[in-house]
Amino acid sequence: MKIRQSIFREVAALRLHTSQLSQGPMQGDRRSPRKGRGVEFADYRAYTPGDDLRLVDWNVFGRLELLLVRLFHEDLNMDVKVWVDASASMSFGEPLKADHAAELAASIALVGLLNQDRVSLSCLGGTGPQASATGQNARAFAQFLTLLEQVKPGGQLDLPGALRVSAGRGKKTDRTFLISDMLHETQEIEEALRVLAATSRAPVLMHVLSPQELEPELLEMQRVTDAESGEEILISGGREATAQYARVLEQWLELLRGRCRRLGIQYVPVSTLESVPEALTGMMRRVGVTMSRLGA
Amino acid sequence: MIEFLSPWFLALGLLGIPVVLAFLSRQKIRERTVPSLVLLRQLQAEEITRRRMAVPNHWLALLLMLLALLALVFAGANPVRPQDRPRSVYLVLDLSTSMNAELEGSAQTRHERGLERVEREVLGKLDGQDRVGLVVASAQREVVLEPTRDRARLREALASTRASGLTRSLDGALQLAGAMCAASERGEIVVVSDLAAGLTKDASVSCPVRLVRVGEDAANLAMVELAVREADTLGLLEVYVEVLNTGAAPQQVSVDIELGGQLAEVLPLDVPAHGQVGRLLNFEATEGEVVTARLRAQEGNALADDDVAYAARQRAPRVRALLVAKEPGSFMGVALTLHQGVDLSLHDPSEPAPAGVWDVVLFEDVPSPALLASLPTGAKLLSLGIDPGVFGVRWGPPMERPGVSWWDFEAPLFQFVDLDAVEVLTARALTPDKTSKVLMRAGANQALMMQTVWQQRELIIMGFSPAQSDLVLRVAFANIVANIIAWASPVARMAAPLKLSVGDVIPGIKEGMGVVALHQPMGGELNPRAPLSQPGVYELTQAGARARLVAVNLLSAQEATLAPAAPPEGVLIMAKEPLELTSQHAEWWWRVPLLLAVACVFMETFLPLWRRRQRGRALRRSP
Repeated sequence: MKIRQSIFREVAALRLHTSQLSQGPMQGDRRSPRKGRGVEFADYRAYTPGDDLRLVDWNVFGRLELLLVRLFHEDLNMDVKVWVDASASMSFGEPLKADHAAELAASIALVGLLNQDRVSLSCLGGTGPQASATGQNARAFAQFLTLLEQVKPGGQLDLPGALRVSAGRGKKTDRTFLISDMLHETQEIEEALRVLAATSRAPVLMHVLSPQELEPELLEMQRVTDAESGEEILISGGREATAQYARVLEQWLELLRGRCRRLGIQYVPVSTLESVPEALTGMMRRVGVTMSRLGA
Repeated sequence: MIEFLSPWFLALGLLGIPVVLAFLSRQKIRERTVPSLVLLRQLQAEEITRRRMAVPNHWLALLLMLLALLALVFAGANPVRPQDRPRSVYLVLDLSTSMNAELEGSAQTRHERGLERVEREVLGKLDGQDRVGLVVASAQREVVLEPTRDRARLREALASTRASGLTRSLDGALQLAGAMCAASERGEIVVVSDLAAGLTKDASVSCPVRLVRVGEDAANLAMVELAVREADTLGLLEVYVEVLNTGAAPQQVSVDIELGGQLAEVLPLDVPAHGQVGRLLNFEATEGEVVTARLRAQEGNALADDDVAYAARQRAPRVRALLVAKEPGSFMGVALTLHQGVDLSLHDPSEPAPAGVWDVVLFEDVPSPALLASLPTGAKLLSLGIDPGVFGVRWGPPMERPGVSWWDFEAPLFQFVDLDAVEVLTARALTPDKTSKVLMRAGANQALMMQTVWQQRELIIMGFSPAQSDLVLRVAFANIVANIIAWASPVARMAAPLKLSVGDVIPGIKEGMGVVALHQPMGGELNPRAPLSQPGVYELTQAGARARLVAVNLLSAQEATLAPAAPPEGVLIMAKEPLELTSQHAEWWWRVPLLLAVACVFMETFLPLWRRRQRGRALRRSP
C-alpha cells in the first residue's frame, strides 16, 4: 500500500477525541475514571495503614487530628486500535481504496502517537512480513509506516473471524477504528460489527468506497468476476441496471448505518476522492472522532 | 497481379454476409473484475437473449472473422502469380532407330535414358497443375498425347514408345510442338533426342526449347544396302550387300545371307574405318522369296537395329503354255520344252481346248472353231504363220524371200534380239487395222508381225512360220522365245516389290487389302494402314491373293551414324539450364492465406478463453 507522507503535516495538529474517560495503560493527559496520583484534587479518604504518608493531608491532621489521605484524578492516555482491511476487494478504485485506507490508518496512528496514546494497528488479510504494530509515541510511527507500506492487499477475508483474532481477550479499547469497504455478505457484516462494538468503548467504522463503486458503469452487458472468490455472474447492464444499482447501494448503506447506530458504532463514510486530511478534519471532526489539539 | 485457378471459389465470399449479420446481432459481453459481487448480484441477467440488439462495437472480432473468411476463400480460389500459372510442356521424343543404341558402359539404350531423364528433369519439376503433351518423331511426326495433367496417362504413353525408323520428322515434330505451344500460356518444349540426324529450330517456334541430349558418338556397323535380282530365268540370283563402318578402327565382319530363312551364304568383309564396302554375290537359288542379310561383328557395333536388311525376291512363276500343232517336234515346241519356266502341253488343233488355265496358246496349225470357242479367257495367243483369218485378220498373197526391214526396238518381245539379215523363205503380209500394232515389217510397208486384240485376248500374229526362216538357227530365236514367255508370264502383270523405310505407311491401301509378314514364320495379319515399324518383307494381299511384295528396311547411313550434331541456335541445354521448379511458388502461396485464416480463428476463439483461464488461475493463487 502506498502512503503519501505529505498528508501528515495537515493532520499533526489533530487529536483523537472520545466522549468517555480514557482508560489507557499509561499516564497521559486524558481524564480517566481512576483516582490516584495526579494534579487535580479529587477527594479525601481515611488513612489506612500502608498508604503513602506523602499523600496524608497534614494540614487537616493539624486542625482536626484526622488522618486523611488526599486523592487526585489520575490522567491516562487513550488506548487506540486501528484495523485496516487488506483483502483483495480493497485494491480497486481510483485511487485504490487500499492506499486510501492505509493513509487513513497512518494518519490516525500518527495523531494518536503524537498525543502519547497507545496505538495498535493491524492489517486484516493481505500479505506482508508483519500484520500488526504497537506504539505509544512518535518514535514508533516509522514501524507503522513500514507495516502499511509492506502489506499487499489480496485474498479473501473472513472479516468477523479476523476481527476476533485481532481483538483477543483484552479489555475494551478507548477507540477502535475499522477501515474497510465492508463488501461482505450481510451476515458477515452483522457479526463483524458486533465484534467491533464489543472490543471498544467508542468504535468507529470508516467505510471506504471508491467512486467506481458508488457510481459504476453499468450501461453495457458484462461478465463480472468477484476479485476475492472468483465467482462470475452476468449482468444485463443498461440504465435500468444503473438505477437499480443505486437503489441497492442506498439500501445497503442504510443497512450499515442502522446496524452501526444500533450497536453504538460511529459510522464515517469515506470516499477515496476525499483527501485524508479532509476526512479527518471534516466528517470525523463533525462526529467527534477528532478535534484540534488546541481544543478548538 | 494475382490470378485464380478456381475463381468460382470466390463466390464463397458471400458467406461474409451472414457472418456480418451474426456479428451485428451478437452481444458484446464486457469482462470485468469487481471487488465484490455483493451489490451486483442483484443485477444478474436472467435472459440475455431478451437484450436488444447491441451495436457492434466489437469490430476487431468481426474484422478477424472476415479476414479469416477472406483468407480461406483466397486460398480456396487457388491464387497464382502470373509466373506461377500452370505450364504446358511439350515433349518431343525422338523415336528414330539411333535412339536404340546402347550407351557406352551401360545396358541402357538412349531411348531408355531419355525417358529416365524426362521423369527426373521434366516431370519431377512440375506440379499437378502443369500439363504435359507428347509429340513423337520417327518416320512420321505424331501427337501421341494432347497436353494433360494426367501423369499416369503420360507415363503410360511414354512407356509404350518404341524407337524405330528413320529420323525424318524431328524438325517437323518440333514445328508441330511449336505451333501447339504458341497457343498455350507459359509453354515450353523439351526435345529428347540424340541429335544423330541433327535438329533445326524453325523461326516459327517461339516457345523456349530445351534439349535433353542423350548419348555420345559411338562406333557402329550397319547394313546400308541390300539389292536382289534374278540373273537369269534359271534361278541364278544376284545379291548386292554394302556395310558401313562409322568407327575409327577397321572391322572384320561377316554377313549371313539367308533365303527363305535358310542360310545360303556367309560373306566375310573387311570394312575400313569411317568407310563402307559393298560386294556382289551370285548363287543358285530356286526357292525363297525373302532374302535376309545379317551383319555379325564382334565389336564396334553400338546399334543392333541396322544390322539386318531384307529384300523381296519376286520370282517368275512357271508359264503354262499350250502348243496347238498336229505334229510335235517343231522348233518352237523344242524351244518351249527346253525352257525352265514353261509347262508345255501339246494339243490337237481339231480338239476343243483342254480344261485348265493357260497363260499362252501358240498356234502352229489352224485351230478348229471348237478349239477357238473353248479357249480360256485371259490367255495370250500367238499365231505362228497360220492363216490369221480365224482371228479376223486378213493377209496378202505369199511373198518370196521378203527381207525384214524394220522391227520395233522398244517392244519387250525383241529384247536382246537382232533380226538384221534374217532370211524368210515364204511369208504373207498382214493387214493391220486401227487397233493393231505392227511389230515387224518387210519392204516399205508390209507387216510381217503385229499385235492386236481378239475377243479381249492379246494376240500376236506372225506372217510367217519361224521354221520357214533362218531365225530358228540364230540366238535371236532363243531370246524371242524367252521374251514370249516373259510376255506371257503372269508375274509381268504384278508390280515390282515396293521398297519402304521402317515407319512408313504402305501407300495406296484400298478396302479389302491386307498385310502379312513373310519374314516371320508365324507372321499374322497386320493393319495395312499402320506404319510398318519392323524391317522385313511383307505381302500385300487383295481379296486373299497377292497384290504386291513390300520390303521394309532401315538401310540408312545417316541413321547408322551415331555422332550427335551440334544443337541449333536458341536451344537451351537441359543439363545446363534445367526447368524451373515452379511448384515451390504455388505451395508458398497456398500456405500464407491458410495460415492467416488459422491465426485469425485462433485469435478470435482461443485467446479470450486463454485470458479467462489465466485470470482464474491468478485468482486461485492469491491467498
